[in-house]
Amino acid sequence: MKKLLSIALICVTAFTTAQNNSSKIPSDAAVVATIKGQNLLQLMSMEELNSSFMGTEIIKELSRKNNKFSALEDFGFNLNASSHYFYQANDSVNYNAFLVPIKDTTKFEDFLKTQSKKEIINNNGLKSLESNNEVAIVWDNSTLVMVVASPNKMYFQDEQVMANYGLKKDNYYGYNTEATAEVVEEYDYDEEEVEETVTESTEYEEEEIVEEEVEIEETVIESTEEDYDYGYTYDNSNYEIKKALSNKWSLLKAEQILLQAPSRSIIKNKSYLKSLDNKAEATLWVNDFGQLYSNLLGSMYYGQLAGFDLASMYANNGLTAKLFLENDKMMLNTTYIMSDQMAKSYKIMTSRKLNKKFLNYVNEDRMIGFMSYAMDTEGTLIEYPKLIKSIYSSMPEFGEEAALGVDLFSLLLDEEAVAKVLKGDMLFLLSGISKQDVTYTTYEYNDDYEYVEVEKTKTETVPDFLLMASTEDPSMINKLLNYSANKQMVTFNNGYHTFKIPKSPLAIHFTIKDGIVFLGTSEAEMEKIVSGTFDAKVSKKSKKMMLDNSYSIFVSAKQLAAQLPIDEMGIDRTGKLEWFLNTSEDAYITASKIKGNTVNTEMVIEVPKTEENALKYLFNIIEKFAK
Amino acid sequence: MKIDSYLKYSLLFVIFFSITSCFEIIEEIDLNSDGTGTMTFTLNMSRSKSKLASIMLLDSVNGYKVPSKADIQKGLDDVVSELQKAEGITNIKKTADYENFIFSVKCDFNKLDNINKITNKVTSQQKSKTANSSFLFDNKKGVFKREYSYSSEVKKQYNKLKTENKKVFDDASYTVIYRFDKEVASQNNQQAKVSKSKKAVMQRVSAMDVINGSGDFTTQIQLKK
Repeated sequence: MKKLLSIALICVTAFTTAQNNSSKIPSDAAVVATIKGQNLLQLMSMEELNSSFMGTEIIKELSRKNNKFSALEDFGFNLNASSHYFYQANDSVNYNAFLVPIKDTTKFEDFLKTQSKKEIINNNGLKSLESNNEVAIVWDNSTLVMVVASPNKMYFQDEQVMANYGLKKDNYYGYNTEATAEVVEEYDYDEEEVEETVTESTEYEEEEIVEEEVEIEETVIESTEEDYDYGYTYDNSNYEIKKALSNKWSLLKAEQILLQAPSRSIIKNKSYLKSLDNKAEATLWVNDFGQLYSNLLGSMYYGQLAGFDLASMYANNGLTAKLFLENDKMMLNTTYIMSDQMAKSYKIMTSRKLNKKFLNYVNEDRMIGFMSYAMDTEGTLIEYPKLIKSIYSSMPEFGEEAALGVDLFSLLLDEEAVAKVLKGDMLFLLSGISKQDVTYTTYEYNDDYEYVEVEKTKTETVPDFLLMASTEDPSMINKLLNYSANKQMVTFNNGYHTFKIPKSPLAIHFTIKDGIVFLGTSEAEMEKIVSGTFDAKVSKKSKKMMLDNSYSIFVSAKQLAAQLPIDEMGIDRTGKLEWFLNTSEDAYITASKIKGNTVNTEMVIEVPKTEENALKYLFNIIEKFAK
Repeated sequence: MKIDSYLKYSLLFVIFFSITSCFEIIEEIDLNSDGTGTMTFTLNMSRSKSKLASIMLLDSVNGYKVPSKADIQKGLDDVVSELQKAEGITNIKKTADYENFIFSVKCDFNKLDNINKITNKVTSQQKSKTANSSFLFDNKKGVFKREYSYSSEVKKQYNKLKTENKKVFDDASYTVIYRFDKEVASQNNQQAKVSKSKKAVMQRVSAMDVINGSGDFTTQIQLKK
């Protein structure tokens, strides 16, 4: 496992010339991820990478007794180019593929020989290992391709397909119940059908496929001969057949990727090209979530039973994400592109802006973090059932009833009235940390060591929260509070209600003022709110973050480090947490209002001034926590 | 996010922020000259009561299911019912203070060997070997002995715990008190102290010392004749 991780890490740090390698990605890839080695090496030199904790660990892990490596370049990869991952699916198989650029084939093959005893086969410049398993590895002078093929389980449940491949009907547990011996005898391989399917899914030449078929037949016979007799009719021939098929398909796919003509590649896809960014260290592109859900659900045995039509709900919904590692921050920018229908609903659901009056109750000198959330309750109550209906109404059973239920819910609900009680915008503040005295019972002993119970006091650290929500008609909330007061569940003092959590220092206070429902743990803050003496202090940056977005999350590491009594809490035996908090800067996530059909999400972690850039900062954190 | 979710997360924060939870265990033996006596076992978690109160509002924390009041009650009832079945054990009393999280079980015994039998039974039912204690009283010679053997299995089990769960033992303590109707002439445990009245011996050991094996309860007490 460690070895696999190390190889994966190398792949992650490897590169190839972007244009060359991306031209090997097929035009119908559903997901593409790219890591740009050139950009990464601008942030951290090869020497620094080799001597870093991660670098030395990878070299150590992959070195053998007689083959010691001294640098990451010794593995033969081109670390100064781009590596890609892509996911491609069709009706019968899902492919996960990695493309890693090679700089020095001799070095790479020498490295491979230290990791595997298998012979290298050279077929006109296309090289592979003598027999591949689930992971097919094929390379030429410039690129290594690794492919894992997962057969689509739904596809193999089709009776015609099963007959074509000699599969037996699965029982409830997913394996068939006929005797193993019969499988070998009955196994009637249909060459034509395989040819057809493989051609469909891999677009490969016929000649080579015929060669491969022989291999499959052999594999099946070999493996079934080795089956054990457990005294009942357990038979894993289905598994063996599918395994042989996926091994074969992954090898074919890997070869096909290497030989692919640029004209059939993704570099003609406008949406994909838009996701590329020279300045980004890594990018991710998802073409269509609807298609992706459809493939993923198809690969599960009982996917169809759930009946949720996620594929149609997310049809034409795509995503691009870009990771930037800069000197002062690391930033992940995501653009989510919605279908027209979903964008229309989403626009209505998020049409409300955050109540500006919330800002009168924020004090950044004490605040550790916040979360803002601006939805429109009325819009959500109207639009959400529509989306739910589109998912549930296609259920094979009770779909009609579910749709009817959703309609009935919408009919009975007075969306406007509900929206008056809570409009849908909220601001949640982790407004500080306070100390409270709490009593506890312990013992004092007399001259005979007989004891008496005595009550002592200690100080406990309690986090302070303040939740604000807009209301237009607080009468329903007031009725609830009055009912709770009458039942003695809450008390009313100094203009606010208090619910005391039994035996706990934590009490939750409620009040309603200026069309805002306040719910908080700090008595001092609640008194200030009621008396109108709240000492608000908000920076422009925070104000913008809260008001301009549908939601935002912010955490101030500095405030957390300053206020958290780490020693007292005994949560940091190694001192790592304290180091992390003391060296960390602010972190935040924002999701923009919808513009056209797109929502932009930004995740930012600021880099401390003591660090040169975000990549070195990341390496530093990993080293600190791994050691 | 719903308001009840906020409250749930708030509770988790309270648990996280609470200063190290701790508890104390007190084991008392009041021994008469004829070998009969009373044993009391008390678990006091009052110092952690705010944390426990918050924890008990949740279903599970740190991967462990949180016992409900009914679960604790049943556990105590099981202890009482086991004691009722034991030979030479009478007058069993239990107390449960859920306000302060203090629980105790008290019983009379005819001879200390009755206690040893219960301890042996409990130990034999446990999957892993834990530390073992046994008592002996020679009423003719006026000698009280406690034999204690540490098992490294305790440390192994402790090491398997997640860091956040290990915290529970940081400030916890285990106290044993032996009271007699005669004065103590001598006692040989360096970690134990004789009371001013000379009729009692007490040893207080931190939970970490019990786990590491440095807390040794082996004691021999010679009573005056």
